[in-house]
Amino acid sequence: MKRAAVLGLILPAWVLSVPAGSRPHFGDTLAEGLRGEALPVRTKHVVARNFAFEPSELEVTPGDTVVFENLDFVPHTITEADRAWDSGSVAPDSVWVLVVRTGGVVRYECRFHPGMKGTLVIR
Amino acid sequence: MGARAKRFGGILVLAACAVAVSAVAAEAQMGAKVNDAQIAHIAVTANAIDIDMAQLAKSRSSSEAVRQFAQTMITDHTAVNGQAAALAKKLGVTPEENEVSRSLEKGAAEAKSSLESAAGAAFDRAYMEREVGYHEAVLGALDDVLIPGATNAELKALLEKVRPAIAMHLERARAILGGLSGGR
Repeated sequence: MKRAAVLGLILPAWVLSVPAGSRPHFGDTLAEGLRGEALPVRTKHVVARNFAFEPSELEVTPGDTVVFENLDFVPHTITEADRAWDSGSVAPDSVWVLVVRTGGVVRYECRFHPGMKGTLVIR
Repeated sequence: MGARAKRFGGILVLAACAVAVSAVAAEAQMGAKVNDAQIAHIAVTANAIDIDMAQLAKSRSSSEAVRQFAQTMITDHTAVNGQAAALAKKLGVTPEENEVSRSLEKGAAEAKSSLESAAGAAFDRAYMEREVGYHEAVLGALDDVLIPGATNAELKALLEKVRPAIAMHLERARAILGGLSGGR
């Protein structure tokens, strides 16, 4: 269930880590480029700050793009709680982008700091 | 090494750690104020010590959880020291060796020596107990001495930024220690 909730996340091409400064440039075009088709994209943001994900719970809909930005001074990961998918190490002042496909509740954490937890509620 | 000797080694590690880090609080109680350059040196020393211990744990431990924790200690404390070095350069401050940082180094040398004599599950337990004790003490020193004592706003801000990392390390260390079995 969790594995299917965010379709395609395990594809390496969907994992993108770029400097935070370039964030405005890939919001809409990323999903188009990755899928090869236009999507009705809405971009939402989660930040890792002071060793917590903010907001800790985010409501999204299929087609949304979620940009995770690491504002801490150490690397973090965004990792599905059962390890169905994993961002890999996201460096400080970098982002990782996730495109949501299907519904469900997805819980994630930082693999380096498992006390950092977050939830995506996909409706 | 017998079970009693291993247990004694673990106690030695904790004792050395407690003595070293509590020196920060003792310094404050004696009224010997630490200045910003000394606070910077204490912070850098504390980070370097934990990195050193983590490198030992990475090479010694057979527990995946312990080795992952050790890698996180290396990554995070290296990042903290990078920030501290950058700030010191920006402010034109040279971290100043002091009684507390010397005490930390002495305690760490004793703790490392004790850890090096342990192996297997006993090593994992001794290392994780040391990490719990060390992070408890560092958190206490940050709250009671270092953050209140820092006069430069940027140094104070850096110490405040580091605090959640230390708290998270402590939480993780306690969880891993609680999950270890045997070793004594």
